[in-house]
Amino acid sequence: MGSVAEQMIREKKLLGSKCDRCGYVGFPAISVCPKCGPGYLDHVKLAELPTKGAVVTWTKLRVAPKGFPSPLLHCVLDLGIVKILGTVQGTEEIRLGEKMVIMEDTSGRFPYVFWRPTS
Amino acid sequence: MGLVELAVDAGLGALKDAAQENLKVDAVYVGNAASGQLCGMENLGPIVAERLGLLPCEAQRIEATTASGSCAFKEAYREIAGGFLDTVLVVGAEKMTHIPTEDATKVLASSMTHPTGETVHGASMPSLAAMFTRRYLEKFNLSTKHLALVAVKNHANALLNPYAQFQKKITIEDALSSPIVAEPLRVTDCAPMTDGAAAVLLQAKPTSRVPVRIRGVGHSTDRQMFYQRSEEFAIPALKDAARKAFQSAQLTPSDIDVAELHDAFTVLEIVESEDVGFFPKGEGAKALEDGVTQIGGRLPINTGGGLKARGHPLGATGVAQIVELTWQLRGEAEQRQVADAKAALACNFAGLGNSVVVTILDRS
Repeated sequence: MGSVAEQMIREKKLLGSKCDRCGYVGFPAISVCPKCGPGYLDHVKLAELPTKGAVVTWTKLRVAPKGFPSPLLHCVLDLGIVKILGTVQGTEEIRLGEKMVIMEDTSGRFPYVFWRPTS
Repeated sequence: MGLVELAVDAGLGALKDAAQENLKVDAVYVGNAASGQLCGMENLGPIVAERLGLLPCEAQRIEATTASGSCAFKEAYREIAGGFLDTVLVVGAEKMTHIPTEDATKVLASSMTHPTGETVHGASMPSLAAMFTRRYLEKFNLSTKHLALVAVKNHANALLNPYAQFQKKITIEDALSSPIVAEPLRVTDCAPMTDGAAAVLLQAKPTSRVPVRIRGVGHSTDRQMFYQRSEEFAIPALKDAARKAFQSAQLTPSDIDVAELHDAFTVLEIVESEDVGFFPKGEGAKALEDGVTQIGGRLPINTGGGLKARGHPLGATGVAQIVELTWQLRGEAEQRQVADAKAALACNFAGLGNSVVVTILDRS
């Protein structure tokens, strides 16, 4: 894990929640484990997310909501323990199943962005 | 017409249809998704009740994004079934077309995408629906032609509905050549921006010339982010809501003669037709292809044109579905009448099945 991911974790951009009773991971973080219920509040704690995953599905949204650039490349990434949504930078076409890494967005517009691994 | 005028117009229609002298209305519930953001106006319940001359009565707005209409209907039903009220007017209304599409998209995104997991990434309903659609088509080896079939059918039905927004037949070729919104979705796969209203009057005792009875209502809520739900190719909250509604109605999916499903995006009609229990998982598209769901088929779906072609005025949609089914059960659906329709089902939901209401009606 590089310094970029560490910084995002410090800034709580890649923090989810994990129930240490059943292992359920929530992102964004939640307070009550949906499997164990409100009787086990003490078991749900903040947890770091993995910083890479595989593409589950994607689309190119031609007209983004006001305030965002168009088009936007959206993608759902499977981090193994939870699936999260983000925008993909640096490419126009995505293949189902391909690997992406989660990076800091240098423009500051998004909480994080997805990139193809450089190596 | 403005938002209040639309709501009042529909409300008057329902009161006129009831045609009762000395009618006493105990409550007015207005289903509306986003009047604050779209029209700069809140407090629709009291505003509409006053304009209809129904004061003093209970009046409130009920909001559950695109399920606002069916939630207002559900609350009215429960107040009456619980013995608290005798007569409730349910109005659904929304006005959306007066603002630019980009702004309306932002309003819809802010009300239906996850605030910190999706909205902040510029996700909108079309982008989420597109990603769901891509997965579903791939899983069951379907093509965008199956999506087009939903749009073609619902446009054809809308041609028979004078209240529908679109009065235009489209072909599969038209659908497959319409502009791309978000791959694989094209314009014809997405419900339009619509101004509209609908209303129904619910009463404890049947007084209407052709009474329609509420047999069961089921409501269930699931996680907002569809890719984090317990099933990838189904809408779990719909299965749960349908189970509750059928249990309450003491009916099964095979008893239903006509249905209104929430086709905000074409793929949803196919998925819902499976999850509600009409067809096995993965076989909804085949039923559509075989004509089972068209008027004249064994189980006509979206006879009024659906959200796709009747239009999708967010908070009005759930009520408009009930109105269409009421006409069908009364035998008043004219050219689009389903022969001898005895039992009917409506499915209205928020977002991509975040919160789902299933209602079952029959001819009493």
